[in-house]
Amino acid sequence: MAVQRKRKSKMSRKAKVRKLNGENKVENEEEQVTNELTDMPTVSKKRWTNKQRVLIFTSRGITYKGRHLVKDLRNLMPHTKTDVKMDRKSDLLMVNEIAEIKNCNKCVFLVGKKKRDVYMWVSNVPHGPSALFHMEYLNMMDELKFTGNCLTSSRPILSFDENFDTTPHMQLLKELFIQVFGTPNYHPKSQPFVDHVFNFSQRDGKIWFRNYQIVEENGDLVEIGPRFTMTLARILSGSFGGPVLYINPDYKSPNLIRHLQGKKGSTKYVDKQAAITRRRMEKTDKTFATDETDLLFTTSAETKT
Amino acid sequence: MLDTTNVQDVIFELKMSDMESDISDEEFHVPRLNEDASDGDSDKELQVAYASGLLKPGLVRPITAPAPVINNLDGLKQKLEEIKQTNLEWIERLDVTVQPHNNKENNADEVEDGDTDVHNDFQREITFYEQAKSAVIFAMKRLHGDGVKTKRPEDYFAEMAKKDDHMKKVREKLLALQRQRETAEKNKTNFKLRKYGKQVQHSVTIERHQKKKELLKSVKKYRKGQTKSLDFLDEPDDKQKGGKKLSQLQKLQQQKKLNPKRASKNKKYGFGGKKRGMKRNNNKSANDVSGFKKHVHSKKNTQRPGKNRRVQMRNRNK
Repeated sequence: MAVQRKRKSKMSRKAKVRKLNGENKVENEEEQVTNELTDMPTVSKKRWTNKQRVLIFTSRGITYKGRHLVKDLRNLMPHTKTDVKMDRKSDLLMVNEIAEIKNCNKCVFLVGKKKRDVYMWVSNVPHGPSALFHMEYLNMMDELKFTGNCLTSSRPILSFDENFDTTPHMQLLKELFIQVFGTPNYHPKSQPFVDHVFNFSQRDGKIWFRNYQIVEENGDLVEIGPRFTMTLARILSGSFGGPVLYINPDYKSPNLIRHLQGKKGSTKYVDKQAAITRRRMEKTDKTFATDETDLLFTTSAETKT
Repeated sequence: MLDTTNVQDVIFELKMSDMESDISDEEFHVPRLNEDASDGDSDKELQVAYASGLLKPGLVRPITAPAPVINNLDGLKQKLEEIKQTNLEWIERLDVTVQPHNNKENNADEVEDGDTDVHNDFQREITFYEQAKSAVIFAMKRLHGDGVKTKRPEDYFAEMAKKDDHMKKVREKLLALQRQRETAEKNKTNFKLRKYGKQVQHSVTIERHQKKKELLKSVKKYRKGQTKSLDFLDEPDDKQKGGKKLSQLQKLQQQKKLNPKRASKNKKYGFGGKKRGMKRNNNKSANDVSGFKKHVHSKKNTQRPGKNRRVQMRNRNK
């Protein structure tokens, strides 16, 4: 027997609040209930000039780590917007259009392939350069080993390694990271105090990202938030397209690595055959250099002994 | 098949040193004339190889396709100029580039090599921490100079990146870890105490037995008439030379004086049984000659004197 359910009246949130507050009309501003967290007035009267809007979204087929990374970045950076998952089959240049629709001038696009590899595109949308990274060692903010905490939209200090000043491609990446990951000053959703630091270091050809909470002003830090490692694959001149400016010579796609690993065992027989033929070619009948003229005067009796 | 003599002559001239392991596409590796021609085989090499008969006619696929390397420095610099925000002050960007020399000033004794081992997780994370620390110190100074408030006051409540529930979980986990450590330490100390207590108990029982024996002996002696006084019935004088009262275990340990042979046998066979794996060698122990005693292995009466000397000695004795 089907249970008859009472149809809940669909009342708007504000109407419910009004009802709770009584039958007063909402013309008085004082009696209007404000949501403390989202309706907070801007902390500073100054206007923000550095207009950076970053669109962070993923493609379909992303792993849970990729999804959490997007969530964490959106949590930490107030100047970000998100969009629905994009179909991987559509052209990469579609991302530019999506960013334009959302009125964003930067884009972080996470691509998940084979349900295990995560790639990240960081791009300056209308004309600017874009960079493709392969992401590894993703750790989410939710993990209990990260004990720090920070204000949700406070401005971070961006700390870079000295390697970011050496080569032109690293300088370009540094500039891109500052514009994408740095919260603009006086952003309406940003919080006033500086209590965390984004750390970018280059080790072993990869860029390691860490997020630390500033506990004390003398430099005591505790790790908060997401942690990942980026391996630069290539830098393109245009946004998600255009001529290639830089290809990382040390970059090997994870597919290729897996392919080579698989092939290692398969060539065992072929290698062995090749080694045998080489050995045969190298082997000589003569163990020491002999002069054939020495054998001229030997008789059959001597050769026998 | 190849004419082996020709091939042999060719091989002794050329270098077959860099033969790659995964040859799956080609049957014969094309030997290289010069090792610095790393970007593929030049025409000359191919001609030589073809003439010698090593290279068969037809399409030869390379072992690995050379990876395309593009580094358009001018293009990169141009793009950098395009996106650079030259009109913004530092306060708008808050970026700090940390030089490693700052760290070296503070820790002079911790000499780091050019690049620390990436695979040593702890060391790597420490370098990141140090870098972030230097950046924070620099930035704080500058921000305070500009008059920007950086520290959140205690009464400023705002939305945090991690919810309170989550922080509660984190705190619980830390407490649990601490508790684990404490109990482990406690267990260790308890184990040691119990072991010591057992030893003491054992020694006490032994001492009691000994005392009883002594008492009975002295009673027997008295009965037999060997000793006339009844002093043994009095309480024994516990004060030793130093005037300190030793514990029962310590007294026993003082009395015990194992001869070295007994001690070595104990070490080998006692307290835990025969030691397994005593007769095993590794490189170090096999090459270790510290146990060799010269005076044991040398011939007695060292050198036999030579013939002349022996003759002299014989003549002297005669």
